[in-house]
Amino acid sequence: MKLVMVLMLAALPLYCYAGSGCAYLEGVIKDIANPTISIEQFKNSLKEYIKDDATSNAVGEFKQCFLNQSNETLENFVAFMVILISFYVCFYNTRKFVTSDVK
Amino acid sequence: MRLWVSLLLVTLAFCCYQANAMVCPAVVIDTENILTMPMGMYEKRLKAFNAPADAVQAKLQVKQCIDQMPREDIRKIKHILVEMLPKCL
Repeated sequence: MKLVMVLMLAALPLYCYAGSGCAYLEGVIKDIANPTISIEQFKNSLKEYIKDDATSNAVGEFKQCFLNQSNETLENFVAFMVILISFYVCFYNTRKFVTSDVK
Repeated sequence: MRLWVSLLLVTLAFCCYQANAMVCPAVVIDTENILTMPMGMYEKRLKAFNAPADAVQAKLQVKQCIDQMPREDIRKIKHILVEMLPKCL
C-alpha cells in the first residue's frame, strides 16, 4: 500500500506536467523561443500556413521579436509557459471538481 | 485514512487527465492575449498566475516588441494561430 502511494505521488507531478495536450503548438512555441532556430528555419516549419509574402514577413517579424531577447529572457519566457500549462492542468480542474455542486 | 488518501490521489490523476483537453485552449488564449491585449491588462493577467517576476518580465519584454508590429501583421499571426487549432483536437 505504501509503495503504491509513493509511486502515485511520484507519478502525479510527472503526469500533470506531461504537457499541454497539444504537442504541435508546444513545438511551435519552443521553436519560436529557441535562439538557435533562425527566421528562415522557423518560416520553413510553418510553411503550410504561409501562403503569401505579407504573411511570411509577419512571421519573420514575430520571430525577430524573440531573437531580439537575451537567452535568459527566452528561458524565462518558456518557464512561464510551463507554469501556465501546470496551472491549468493541476489546479483549475481540481478546483472545479472540489467546488462543483452535487445534485 | 490510507484508503482516503489513495482515492484522493486517483481523483487528482483523473482531473489532470481530463484537464489536458482544457490546456490547449489556455495556451492559445495566452498567445492571443500577448498579440492583442493592451499591455496593462496583459500584465495584470500574467500576475494572476503567481509566476516568478523574471518569468512575467520576460513575457512583457516580448510583448513590448510585438506591440511595435503593424496591426495587419499581428492579424496575420492570429490567423495562423486559428489555423493551427485543429491540430490541438
